[in-house]
Amino acid sequence: MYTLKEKESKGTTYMQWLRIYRRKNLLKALLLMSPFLTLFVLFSVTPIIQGIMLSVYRTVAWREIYVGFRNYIDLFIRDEVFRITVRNTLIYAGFSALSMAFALFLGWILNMLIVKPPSVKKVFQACLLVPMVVSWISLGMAWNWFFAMPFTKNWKNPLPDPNLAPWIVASLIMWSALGFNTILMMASLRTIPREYYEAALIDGASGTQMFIYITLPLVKNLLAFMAVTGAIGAFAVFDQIATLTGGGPGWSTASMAWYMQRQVFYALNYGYAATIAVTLMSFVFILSLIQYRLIYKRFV
Amino acid sequence: MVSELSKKIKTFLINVIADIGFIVGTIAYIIPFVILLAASLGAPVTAGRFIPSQPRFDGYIAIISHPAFRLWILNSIIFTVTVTTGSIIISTLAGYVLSRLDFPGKGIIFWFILGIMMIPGIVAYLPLYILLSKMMILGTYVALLIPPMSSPYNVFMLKQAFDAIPRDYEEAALIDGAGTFTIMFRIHLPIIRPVLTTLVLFNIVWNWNNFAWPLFISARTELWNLPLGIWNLAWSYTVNFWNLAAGAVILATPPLILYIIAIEYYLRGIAVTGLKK
Repeated sequence: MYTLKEKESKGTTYMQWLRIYRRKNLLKALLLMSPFLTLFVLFSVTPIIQGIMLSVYRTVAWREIYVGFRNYIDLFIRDEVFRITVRNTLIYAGFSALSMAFALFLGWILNMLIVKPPSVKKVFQACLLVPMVVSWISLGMAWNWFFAMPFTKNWKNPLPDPNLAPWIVASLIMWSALGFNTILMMASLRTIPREYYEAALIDGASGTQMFIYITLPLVKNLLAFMAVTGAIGAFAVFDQIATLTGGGPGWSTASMAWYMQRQVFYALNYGYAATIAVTLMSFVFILSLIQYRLIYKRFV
Repeated sequence: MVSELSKKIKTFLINVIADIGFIVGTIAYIIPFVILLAASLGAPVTAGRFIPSQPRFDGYIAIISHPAFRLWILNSIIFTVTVTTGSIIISTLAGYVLSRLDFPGKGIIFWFILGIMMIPGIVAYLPLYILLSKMMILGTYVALLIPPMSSPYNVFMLKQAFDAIPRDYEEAALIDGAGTFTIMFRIHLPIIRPVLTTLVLFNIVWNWNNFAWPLFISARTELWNLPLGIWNLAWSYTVNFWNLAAGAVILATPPLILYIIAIEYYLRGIAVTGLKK
């Protein structure tokens, strides 16, 4: 009470003082942030706005011509290849999200198992993360050779088969995400208090029941959150396509990002490529909205 | 008696299944590297044979003496070191400001950073390509190295790390008369050192493996880094597969060594913060 009166007597209220304090901080903040802000505005924000603007133009004979929404109309209605790439991207995103479910299962088992030499578990964990640190250039080369191996008498390499190839690529994307997700899931499963399980054990619950009624409800939100994150990541699939199949055979494994790169460097169709980028961005935006809703109930 | 026996059999079976699971899982995750290693020594892996009849090392010699190889390695090192250092320094400053200083417009900046973080970087590569060519710096190291330094992701992670530090520390220092910089360098940075180390380690791996950005932006082959170089070799029909495999092994080795040395940091980084790109 006393301090408030004193402040009033000096002619500044608390709110005014706060405003002055914040304004005084502004200069310092801008100074410290300026390197980042400059690069951020110039190389992160501007390109995205420019990309949206570019998507209403079309390159004809080295000139940019305004075409309105015709790029979008062509893309959605006429472009067969685009439809394939959307389908593929959805498959990849779906498999990436699905890997979270496998990760939950695997993480649960790994946490339950008491392995005699504990180092075995450590080594296994370490192996799971190898796809995260090794470049996809190396991995793609190796998997290409792997599928070319003669497993059976009349084994056919599935990668040059347009019907099988997208599923193989999707499985490999899942393979690379699975390790990461498992480590994450193991960590979050370990945060569930032991007492819950002990109480359930006393009540005579079986392992499956404990999993369904205790574990699942507790990690449900994190599971959904990470599945959406994985799907967002999979929307930008590029390296994997470049090294595993090169988008082929035909366009059967191409992702949207890969199709965009082809439009830039082989068709030199900048406006059209920007249209694809904007479409990709809107897909990601929708997923982000879902994720935003999940953020507020992320942890237990 | 019978129930005890059946229990023993059950435990034994579970153990066997777990062992098989471990073995299969481990193989599934290290087989690419085994394939590359075998192929680089001249084993005909596409014929299903992993042990070469006559191990040969000329793959490594050929790839190292490839005229452009030294340049690729050099570019990869330059890219990794510069981008990681630059990005971490500016992100630390920005993350600190966003976490600790209160100023008008902070909320908007933070939401912009969050929003851009969600969007995959590849979406902006084409407009960036055009922008850099308009700035007349396309095909220079500046264009290759400066734009990837703007990493909203790093800023977000570092802001989170700074947020976790209790305010009491800096209040004590403030009373003793310390300024913003003293507080930041003497008090906050030492506390977040584990997070910073983890982030640096992840950044090194991401930048070493970065393929899409150099592919979009390297107008001249002098700017190619190792992944891009190896990838381009893979499309040429004149290169022997063991040379190619040797290149892939050389590409994969530095991050693997780093990973094996600092494995605790990587595992903790995922478990605590969910680091992922």
